[in-house]
Amino acid sequence: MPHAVTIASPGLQAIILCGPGSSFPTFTANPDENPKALLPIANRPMVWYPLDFCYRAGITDITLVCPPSAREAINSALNTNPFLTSLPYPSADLVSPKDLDNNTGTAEILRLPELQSLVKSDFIVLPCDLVCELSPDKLLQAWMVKSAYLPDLLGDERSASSGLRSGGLGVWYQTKTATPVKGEETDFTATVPLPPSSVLPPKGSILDNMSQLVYSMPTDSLKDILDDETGLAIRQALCAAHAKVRVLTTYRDAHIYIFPRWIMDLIRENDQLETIGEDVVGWWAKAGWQENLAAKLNFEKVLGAAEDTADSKPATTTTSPGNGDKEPSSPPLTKSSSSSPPAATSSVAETETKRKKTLIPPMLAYIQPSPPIPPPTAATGKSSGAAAPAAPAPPLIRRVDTAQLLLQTSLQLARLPSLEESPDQPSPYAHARKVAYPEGVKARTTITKSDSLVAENVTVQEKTSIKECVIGANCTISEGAKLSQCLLMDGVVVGKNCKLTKCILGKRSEIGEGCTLTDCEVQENLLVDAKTEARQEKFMSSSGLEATEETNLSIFLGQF
Amino acid sequence: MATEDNGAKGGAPAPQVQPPQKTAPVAASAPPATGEAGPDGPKLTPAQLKAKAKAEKAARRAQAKEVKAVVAAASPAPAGQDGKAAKGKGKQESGGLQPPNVKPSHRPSVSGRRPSFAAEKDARSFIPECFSHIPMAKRVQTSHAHKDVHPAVLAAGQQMATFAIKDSISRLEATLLAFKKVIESYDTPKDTSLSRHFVPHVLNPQIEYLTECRPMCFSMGNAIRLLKAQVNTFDINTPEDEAKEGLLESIDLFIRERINLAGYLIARNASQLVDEDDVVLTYGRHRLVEKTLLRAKENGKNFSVSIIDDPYDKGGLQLAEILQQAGIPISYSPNLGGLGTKVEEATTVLLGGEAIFASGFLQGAAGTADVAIAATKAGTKVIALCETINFDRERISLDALTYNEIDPERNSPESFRLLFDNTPVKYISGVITEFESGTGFSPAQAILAILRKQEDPIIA
Repeated sequence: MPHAVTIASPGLQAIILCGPGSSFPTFTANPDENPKALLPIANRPMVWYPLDFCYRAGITDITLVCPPSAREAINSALNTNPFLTSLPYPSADLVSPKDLDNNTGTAEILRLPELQSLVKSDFIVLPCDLVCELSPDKLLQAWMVKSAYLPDLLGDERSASSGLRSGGLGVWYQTKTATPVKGEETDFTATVPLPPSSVLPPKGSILDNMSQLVYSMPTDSLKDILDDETGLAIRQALCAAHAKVRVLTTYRDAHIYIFPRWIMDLIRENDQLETIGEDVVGWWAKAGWQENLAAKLNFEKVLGAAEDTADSKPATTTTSPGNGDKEPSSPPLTKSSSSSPPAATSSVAETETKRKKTLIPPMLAYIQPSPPIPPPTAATGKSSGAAAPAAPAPPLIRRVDTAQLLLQTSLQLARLPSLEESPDQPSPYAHARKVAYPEGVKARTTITKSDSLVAENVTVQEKTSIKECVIGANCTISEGAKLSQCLLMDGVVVGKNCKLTKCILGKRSEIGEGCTLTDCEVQENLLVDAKTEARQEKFMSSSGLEATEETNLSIFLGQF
Repeated sequence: MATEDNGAKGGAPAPQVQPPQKTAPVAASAPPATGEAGPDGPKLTPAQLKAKAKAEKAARRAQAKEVKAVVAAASPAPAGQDGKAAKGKGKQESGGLQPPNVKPSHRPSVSGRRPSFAAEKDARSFIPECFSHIPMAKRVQTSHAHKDVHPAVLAAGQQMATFAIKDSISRLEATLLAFKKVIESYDTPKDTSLSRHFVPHVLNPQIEYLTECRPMCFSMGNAIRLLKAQVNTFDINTPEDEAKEGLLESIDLFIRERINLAGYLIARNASQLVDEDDVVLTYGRHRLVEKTLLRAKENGKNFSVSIIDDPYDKGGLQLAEILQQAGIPISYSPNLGGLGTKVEEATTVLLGGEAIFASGFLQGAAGTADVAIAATKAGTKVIALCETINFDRERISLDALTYNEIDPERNSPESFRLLFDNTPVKYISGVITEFESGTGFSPAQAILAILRKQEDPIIA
């Protein structure tokens, strides 16, 4: 039953980008009828997760952006899917700008007039394939304290004259976990520590793990550069500007961006920015230390645009009403020190001498700390397990954009105990019950409840064994089937005596009797003939061939 | 425990009763007699079973009522004082039981007022009774704020909670600017007027939230009192726009006069007390001291500064950098060691204060009093700088324990650190506020007298 959001709103609006999946060739062959945003993760449509994240943050102004061709499918899902309709009020808006097609870059989306007029305040951009267990109020706290410049938020006159504006915030998570997924994309990132502050951060906050981003590039682009040239060239200005640079290669951008309003103007002014992750964030990070880049990207115009003062040079407050003789005409040094800016902008003191340069607000990064991975080979596995006490797993942050990631994330979420078993569940992703419809499960079946998830209306016949699986609604598992580590979407029919391991079965597919499939993917609405034996195959219908060409093109252009 | 597995046998409603099983005091006396016998001893007769079931039900009802009472105590608990009262009550109720352990299950997308109360109890549970009146910043997360809290206030509150803005004037300014945003976005509902509706329904939740982030400082209290008084001056029939304009203007005026102008005047007055070739000693980093020293340097005086830093809150480092860049020779000590020698070398001591009580005592960052006492003993004059908005005419404090705050990051069952301390009048040679001009500075009492005359017209 929809209820209203009952926590305070942080004054942000949310934009969730629901693009077609280009890395999901099997399942998004028909991006219009089965958009990637509706693929199920642990039996909830993918787009539920970023929506839930927004509601947990208190954000009520949420807009989903999708291409017009997929609008109908997403709209009907929003109205009929039980998970989506149980999200709180007010419900999200769906916007399909007419110029948006399956190949538009993410920054280009933000440049479209519909979006430009939609965004009126600081905003957060989420991808539709994000699963983020991290409590959003920690991110909000980090943004409010470190990135956002308080006088800017409060409309203080001083921010207008000193030209300091709020910065941005992004999240990076570790991909090299204990169970890595092959082929997961990573980003090549470099960060520098924030200016140290003597204030101890509150326990449990993420302020300790914040750093300033100075370089960001997807590893694929890095590999392209390394193929063309012998090495990656980085200007010396980086070392001149920052003493301690930390380079990360196994982290991935979660694409959770909290941006100040002026980013929209920046994107509008610069046509060459195509994607947010690579272009906007990457160039912004570089503009902090590369001279002349700020001017090339029109930062001055953008940062000074909202105020009436045309030049963003920190000037004395002669422009603010009636303050001429009251404020001392000392340099903005005093002003900034008396307003005690957040630690991120205390670099004003140093850059004060270069008053002519525009002060670029920094893009901050939350690099999720991960517990040390126990060494994979231990002579006596028991001793290593006993020596290192199991640290609680960090909250799950994942972008689910390949089939393998879909499978792994669904299985990981299936391991969460249900609310029925432990009501004090800290994770917001626990289901009410592991087996939603126990009456459909006949006797003499094995379902390992601790790591499986069975949705509504599923019929499981006798003598089946279901271990570590996620089974969607309305499925039928016939007698004697053995499923292990599988993901079944809605309405799948599994024939008798099948043996499926690590398979992903699309909507309404049907597996004939006696099949043995390992590591396979089956497209939706497909029938797999009886007694097929296959290993690591992708079963797709022939009509999917055109789609793969299109999706290949969009991979080339670096899309979702 | 006996009641626990009986409860499980009793059936499904376990999830309804949210806190983990606690033995209720009254019911506990009745069932143990029969309950103990149950699993261990002989089988119970049906009559005994019935009596047991009845006793369990009574126990469950008592628990539910207790949870409701604790929760009801938590929900209207706004300011630190009320929170303390509720905590006291909660402590009393649970005194008869096991240690306080109220932890309602956290359900997402539901207002989370209760968990904040539980967290506060846990954090303060080891503080001895005699110090239980000293507040500590609770630092609520944004998800625990009341839903009416304005985003600007949320941001300001978070900055205060994480101590990104620490001193009273910055907090005051952030609060007032945030309240301006609240007023700007406020729309009076149809059948009431701003003067009746605004304060209880709109302003109070914001104040509650800010207090939960960090206990209010006296200047914030004074300013809010003045703001509420201003709201009351509006007639019921005043049109909303006019009222809003009036409020916004009064806040602007307040900031200009009592923060900006005050800072400027204090810096000007105090800088005249710095003579050529002086050695000025100061403690930590205080905005007024900084302004004064920079101003004195601009006036062309040559002097040097000796900075004694607070070892926990190393603000003095930044002050040293700033003064050095302005061309003032600096000497820096990282803590109070060697204080005796330092004060003898100094000619003036400039101390910034957070508040001044009606008794004339100066409340400042922990360590200020040590510097003042050492300086007085060495015969160096001690000048305190404080804006009049920080004066509290109603409170008297003769020691550092009456009004103080516990450092939320440095407390443990063995010891905790207090954020402020009190300097008695006899160790301060004079206080400079925005009232005095020219040379000479007066003791705190004289200033309080002037204030009393000034504020009375508004309160009346």
